[in-house]
Amino acid sequence: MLAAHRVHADAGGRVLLRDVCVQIVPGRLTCLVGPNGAGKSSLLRVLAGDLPAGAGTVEMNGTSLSAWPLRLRARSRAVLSQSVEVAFGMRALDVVLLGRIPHQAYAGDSSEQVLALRELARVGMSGMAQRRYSTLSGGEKQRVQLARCLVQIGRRARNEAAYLLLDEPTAALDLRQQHATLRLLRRRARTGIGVLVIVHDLALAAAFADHVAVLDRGRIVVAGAPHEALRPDVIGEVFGVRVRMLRSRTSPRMLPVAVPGAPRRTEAARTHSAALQVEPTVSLPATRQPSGTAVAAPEPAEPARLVSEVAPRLEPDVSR
Amino acid sequence: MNGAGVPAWRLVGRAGAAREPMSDAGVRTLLLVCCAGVALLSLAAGAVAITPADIARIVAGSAGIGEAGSGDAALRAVLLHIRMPRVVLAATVGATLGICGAGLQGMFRNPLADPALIGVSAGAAVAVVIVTVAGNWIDPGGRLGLTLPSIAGFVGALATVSLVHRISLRSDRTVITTMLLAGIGVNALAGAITALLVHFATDAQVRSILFWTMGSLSGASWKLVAVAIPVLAVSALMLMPLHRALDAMMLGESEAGYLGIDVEATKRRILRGASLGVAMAVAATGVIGFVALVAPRLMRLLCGPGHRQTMAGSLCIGAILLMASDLGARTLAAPAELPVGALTALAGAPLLLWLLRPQREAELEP
Repeated sequence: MLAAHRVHADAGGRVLLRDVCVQIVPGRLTCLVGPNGAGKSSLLRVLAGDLPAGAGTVEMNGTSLSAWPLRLRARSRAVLSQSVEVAFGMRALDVVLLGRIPHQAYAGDSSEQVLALRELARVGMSGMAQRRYSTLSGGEKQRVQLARCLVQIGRRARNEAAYLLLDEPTAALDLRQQHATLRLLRRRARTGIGVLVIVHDLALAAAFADHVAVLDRGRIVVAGAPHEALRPDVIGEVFGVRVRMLRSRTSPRMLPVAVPGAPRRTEAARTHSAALQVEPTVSLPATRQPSGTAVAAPEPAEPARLVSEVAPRLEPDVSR
Repeated sequence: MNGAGVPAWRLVGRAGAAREPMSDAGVRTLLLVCCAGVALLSLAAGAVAITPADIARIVAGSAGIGEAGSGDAALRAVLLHIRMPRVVLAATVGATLGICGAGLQGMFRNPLADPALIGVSAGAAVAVVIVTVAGNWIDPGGRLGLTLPSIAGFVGALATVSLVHRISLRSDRTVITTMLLAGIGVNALAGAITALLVHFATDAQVRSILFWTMGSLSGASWKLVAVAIPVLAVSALMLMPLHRALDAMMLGESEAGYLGIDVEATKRRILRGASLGVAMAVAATGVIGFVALVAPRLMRLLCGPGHRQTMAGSLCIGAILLMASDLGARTLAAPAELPVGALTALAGAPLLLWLLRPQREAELEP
């Protein structure tokens, strides 16, 4: 498990993260959502070990992140940044092969190329392996970089947990590719990889995530199963938009869709958000922090009713 | 290079606009043949022509094989004491410039980076001008002679790079953009100091300063070679193991960090290794431009962007370029000698412009 516990982070006097707890569990696809500037990328960098946490601990597989040798750490977790430009004229396949740098056989083995080509095919880029990276479109570049990350944590021993930390991998992708990418990530998670994905499309998060954490102004506002975390009142409070929950015939999940108009700020939502301000560090499993159950537990207050209004019959996630 | 025989950069099949790089073995053979050919030509050609057969006989004779003392004594003297140290020094300095250029371009993530960017040549120039102008006070008897500017150039180059590096440190992190700007500032400052000092120099001193800034291998001696080769070895041994880190840094510094590379240590080592090598080169021969810029570029054209090949090949290409330029410098206007720095620029600049053609740009540029 890759876990941040009560993490604070700041840069130049500006607080980026306050008292954040998240757990990236192998086998689970976790989506991190939140408004611009909420601290999503900072949290990802803290989990990657790139940004040192001012307070709190980050542990990977039970060992503090800073105690991991750099190269071994890189074998167990890959990070995809928002956009990556490459110096010098490299082909897409060259870029993917860079993912093997933490491993012994880097560039010395033709089976590495087979692995790279296979991952390129998985992200739907098999025809472009020989193309210059600089001539690819933004979305194609992102998929090549995703393939590089998959190659980086590829070929692990059995039972060895690995992690993928992805900062908006779907930002430049078309609708079809967005869904294909998240399907791929969920499938990959099932092979024992903990996946954290930052996304802006809440419907995408609701449709594919096993677990959703909502970050706002450096705090985790709510974390839990998609139907618990992505409720209209929470979204209205955090993003300031009105949301309708859409039920699709092909999925048992309720998908939030933004609609024009001010968010419904019911009395309930206000008290709810006040409660959230008091207990901002909600994380799963709830046993870790007893107060964390506040969101998931059926409160007598309005929020629960708000959810049941639009989602009267929540069916279990059958996507597994 | 690559023992397994399948380099990452040589890719299966041929598709799209991308140009297929040559195979590793092919490039190695090509470079070694070129290197040997240019070296032999350099030894043979000059004011006194020496046939390859004579070269072989003299070298064998001095090594104790065959009849010792055979052949013309004058020919022997020319080959062993004038021409050979010069060719070896040209190869050494060229190789040093090549590998240092490759390392610095990798660190700056820019195929147009050059050691001059970080103030090596400007700093060496200031020091050399100081000792040239003030030489009469420092070394009135001229006992230190030729080595004084060399030592000054070496020290000046290293001092300037460490100054530029220090300016670019932000809480122990080397900030590359700051380093570029600091390099520009220090270059300007050094240029101003040089200009002021030149103003106070005598005509003869101005002449020697001018020739120093255009580079020359005429000071070559076995003594100089004996210093230059170990420095090249140290520099290459510092840079070569960093090929993996430099490959990762093609993705950017934070991505390299995510790939398990200690980016700060890499940058420090590159700076140390490259400044040591370039300082030696400047001290030995004066300012020689373009070799450090063009050698890695040519190598990337041949083999793709992997740094193991780029750095190893730049050693070879740098040696070839400088030996060929010096051959031209000695023979084109014989008995006069052209400044070799001008020749490398004369050959290198058009080559660079040719490499910048639009269709090439599509292939090479980020």
